[in-house]
Amino acid sequence: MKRMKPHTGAIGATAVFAIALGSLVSGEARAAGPSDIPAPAGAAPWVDATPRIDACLVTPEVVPLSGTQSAPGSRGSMTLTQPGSPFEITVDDGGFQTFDVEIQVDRLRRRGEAVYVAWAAKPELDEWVQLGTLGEENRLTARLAWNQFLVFVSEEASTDVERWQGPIVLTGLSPSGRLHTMAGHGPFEAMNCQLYF
Amino acid sequence: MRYLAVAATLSAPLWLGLAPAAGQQHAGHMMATDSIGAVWRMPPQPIPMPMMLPGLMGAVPGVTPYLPDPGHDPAMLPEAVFREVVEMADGDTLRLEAGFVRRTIGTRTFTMYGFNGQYPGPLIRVPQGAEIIVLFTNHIDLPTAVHWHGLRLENEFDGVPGVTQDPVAPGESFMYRVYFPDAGLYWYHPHHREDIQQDLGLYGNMLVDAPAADYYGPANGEDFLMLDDLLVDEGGLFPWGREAAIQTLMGRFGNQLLVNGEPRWEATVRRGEVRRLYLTNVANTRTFNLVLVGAEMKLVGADVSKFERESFVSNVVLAPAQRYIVDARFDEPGTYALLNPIQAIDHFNGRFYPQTDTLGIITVLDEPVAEDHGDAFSTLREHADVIEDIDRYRAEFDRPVDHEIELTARVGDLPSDIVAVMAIDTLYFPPVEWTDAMPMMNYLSTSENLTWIMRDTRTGKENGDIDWRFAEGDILKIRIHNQRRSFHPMQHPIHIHGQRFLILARDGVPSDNLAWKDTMVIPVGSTFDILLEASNSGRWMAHCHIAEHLEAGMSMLFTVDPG
Repeated sequence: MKRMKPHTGAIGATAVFAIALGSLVSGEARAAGPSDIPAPAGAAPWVDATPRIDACLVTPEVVPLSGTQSAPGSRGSMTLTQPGSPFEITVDDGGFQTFDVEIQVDRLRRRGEAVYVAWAAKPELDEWVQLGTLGEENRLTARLAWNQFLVFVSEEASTDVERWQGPIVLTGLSPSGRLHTMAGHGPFEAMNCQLYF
Repeated sequence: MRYLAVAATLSAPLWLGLAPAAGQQHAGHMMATDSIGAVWRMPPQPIPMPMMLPGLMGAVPGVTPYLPDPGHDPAMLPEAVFREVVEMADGDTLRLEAGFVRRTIGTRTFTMYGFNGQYPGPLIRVPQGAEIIVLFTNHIDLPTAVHWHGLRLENEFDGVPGVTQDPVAPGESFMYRVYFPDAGLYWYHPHHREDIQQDLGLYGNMLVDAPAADYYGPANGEDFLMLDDLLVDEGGLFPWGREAAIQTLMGRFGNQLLVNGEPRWEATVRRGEVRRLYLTNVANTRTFNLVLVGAEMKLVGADVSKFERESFVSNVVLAPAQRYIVDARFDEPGTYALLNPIQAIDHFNGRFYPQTDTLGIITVLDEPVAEDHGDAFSTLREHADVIEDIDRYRAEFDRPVDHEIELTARVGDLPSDIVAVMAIDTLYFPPVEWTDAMPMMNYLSTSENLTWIMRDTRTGKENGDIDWRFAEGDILKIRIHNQRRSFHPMQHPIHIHGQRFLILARDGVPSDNLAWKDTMVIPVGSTFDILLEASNSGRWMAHCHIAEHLEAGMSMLFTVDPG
């Protein structure tokens, strides 16, 4: 398990966020079979891994990771569980929920010697952390104390990167990404919602 | 995207259980008063947001607003005094009276309740194994009773109206025989409309001292902190529901945080001092996340015992009714803030935002403490007595699950628009709600239009229909799941009366440092396996300790037959 130290900085990450959100909104998260997707030149065969969702009362939060235009058809999942704590509720001294993050990539065409690095960034994109590098089984675990974040996997030439440099191949959002903004919608659409920002 | 076209379909008078609007008041307030001037109005909002869903402006809970009524000029009430420590020996008798008091909090004065005219109630300190008599008299305007939280005492003195006794009517008395079998920190409070009575100040601590002087590590001093909150606005105390509890959806979060009944706790210590903090959460609903900035904290004990091993912690999370014993060391002179930092949810804008309240200030003098316990503090002790006690039960850790409980909710006559909006908003729920993120919707929920449920998954029985039967000496594994897929899932601090239990595993992950408990908080979506020692015969209650959830049905009964 790896404890993350977040980086801070204003970066050109808006584009990353836009790509990630765009891929989700545009429906690239759809499941696609290997036969649907032409293999990029020089790419290895699809890697399929077994989903790890426990079928019992334990209901971890599982969110999909979707392939971007750089890696169409790729997919995976992020499972968030709460680490043990003497207090039953695991938050840090800032009140952030602490999660054990497990990223499992089920389908990904690995390119040559490329390594695949997972990252998390806050919605404001002012902080990010490297979660780790996908192992041979396309899996990694990390611990993260953020409530709302974007997760993505980049294709890199080396693991020694402080910030993603290669293309983003997979994206996803923390479950709290489903937290709905009611401002300007439904019963509140007639209101001047700027009053409440 | 359009979700609902509710505004066009809504009109007042509204739905069952809601009083008709009587004219638009300022900020959507609806005036409905009782004989002492309690007025329904919109509850305070933690952040700017619409006061109410369009079409629901003017809606009020379908119950009468309640404020405590002494029946005479409140100015004539005695001003409450800070609690006294009452050291008692086996066989001693304590007279305990619940009555009206005047309380000055900050610059404002309120009519509230107090035990023996004190805030909090008297701190009862007894040796382990003692039994005392408490002659209780009710001088408030509501029936009540006193529950001795966490004690494995005789069933008939557990203080639960409808289960172990009749409520004590105003002017009446009841004699409790209170037995203290386990060392540790406990508390007492009403178990009858505790949403009102506990909130108004009826609570106090009990400390049971172990015979061994080194039961805990050495400390230079000790402080007892009872953490609470109170909901106030410009009109004073925000009313409670008279016939039934309100704010049953999310519980009643106060907007004035209190430590020992005061807005700010202050203490002065010497450099290098180790202070033992006895922490109790007595709030109706709020879970606290305590941080003592700059000081090291060592977690020593929980509800009913020490942990197997001490551990250093950066923060202490206490749900309602939980207790923790923490040692803190102050190495450098200066001031140290006791904070409650949380990440609150802004549902309207779909985001989290930080919220930090300062609960106290500790001033550390630049004078060295007379007896330096720094080395002992730095050493994490292993508690052989606790380990040996738990060893007797380890063979049962892998036993099959004996009973399963699911925690969920059922909506009654809540306004359909609220239900619809909640359906959108409940696509995501955090493991814990730290504040009232939807005060406008919460305000209209009562124990008559919402039911919180404990459901036996094997029999389908719910709440009061559950009646498990055990024999004294039985060891049981119970699995409790807090259902995420329900109407407004929320964390539930579950308290089991009269017994003790171990939390064996959380979401399938075994606990690695156990302590005996009587209250556990189960986050949304989590499953806990506990080992319950049915050690104390009688008919007992288990329930959610969010006072409004209890009032909305979230309780069950079990019987332990004599062995």
